[in-house]
Amino acid sequence: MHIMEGFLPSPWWQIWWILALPCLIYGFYKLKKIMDENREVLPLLGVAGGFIFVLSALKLPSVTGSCSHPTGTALSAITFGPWITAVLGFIVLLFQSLFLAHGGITTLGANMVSMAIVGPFVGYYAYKGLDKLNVNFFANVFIAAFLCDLVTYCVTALELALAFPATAGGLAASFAAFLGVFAVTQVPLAIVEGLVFVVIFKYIIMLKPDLLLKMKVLTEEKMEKVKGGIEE
Amino acid sequence: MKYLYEAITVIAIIVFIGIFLYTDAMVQASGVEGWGGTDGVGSEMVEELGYEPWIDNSDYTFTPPSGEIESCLFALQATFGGLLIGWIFGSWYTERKIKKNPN
Repeated sequence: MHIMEGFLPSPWWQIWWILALPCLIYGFYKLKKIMDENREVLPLLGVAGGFIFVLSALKLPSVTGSCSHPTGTALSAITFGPWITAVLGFIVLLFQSLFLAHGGITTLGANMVSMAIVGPFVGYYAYKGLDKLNVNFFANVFIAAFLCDLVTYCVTALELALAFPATAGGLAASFAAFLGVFAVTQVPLAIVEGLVFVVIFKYIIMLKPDLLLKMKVLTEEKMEKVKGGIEE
Repeated sequence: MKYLYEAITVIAIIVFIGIFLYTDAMVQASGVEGWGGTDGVGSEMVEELGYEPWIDNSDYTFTPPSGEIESCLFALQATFGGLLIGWIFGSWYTERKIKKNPN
């Protein structure tokens, strides 16, 4: 989903930067708050960041004959919320643009909006909403992770379409064309990523359920039920 | 079933690999060079419109000089992420074991 360096003309790269910056700053504020109040969740933050690093480096082949990578933002989005995910995503994307020539400084704003902000936002609120409706926890994690991944690519397609509307058909036509490249390739990857995160959450619940309680991912009552389900 | 989610995930990955092998056979048969990244495909679509990128990574940092160096950097990125995850999960596992059996 990285938009390559130089592929967003003015004023688009500035616009995405301006949209991304306040989210990033608020994310740093939230992160500092958590670090001051709850030092014991730091390992979980490390794991969440680690998954973004690992999964966003994995380029996997998909049905359309091209390769794409998962985003890995689901763990962070569900447990820490979208703001802190914006910071973690920023670090990963900065590393990739400086050392791997994946994305760049000017397109970093746009890449952050797609992978580190809008995707996790949709995933987080999908999780919270479905949690209220008492959807099965693991089904919910799957849907949230699936959305984190797929929405990221839809936003990338939209960013490119806005900057390069087709001469015939305008915005809608180029959005459809970019979606054809990004979103279609991504669907199978998003399904696998969703399932991987289900397993990851299962292990966290087995090993360190109190961290999820502390981050209010699950209430105690629901946690007991989920645990009971695993141990059967 | 104790390993239900693991089983579903493994089956999904096997299906995913199966789809890859099938698509790969089609791609090979068509003679077109496939399996480029979507990042590159998207950029090519933009370039076809006659757009020239106005800045490049090499203007302020470096682009990996060869595919080998690039894959080295990617592997290092994944290594450190993986080490961090493995270390933390490992300490959680040990912590739980000690709690269950304090001797």
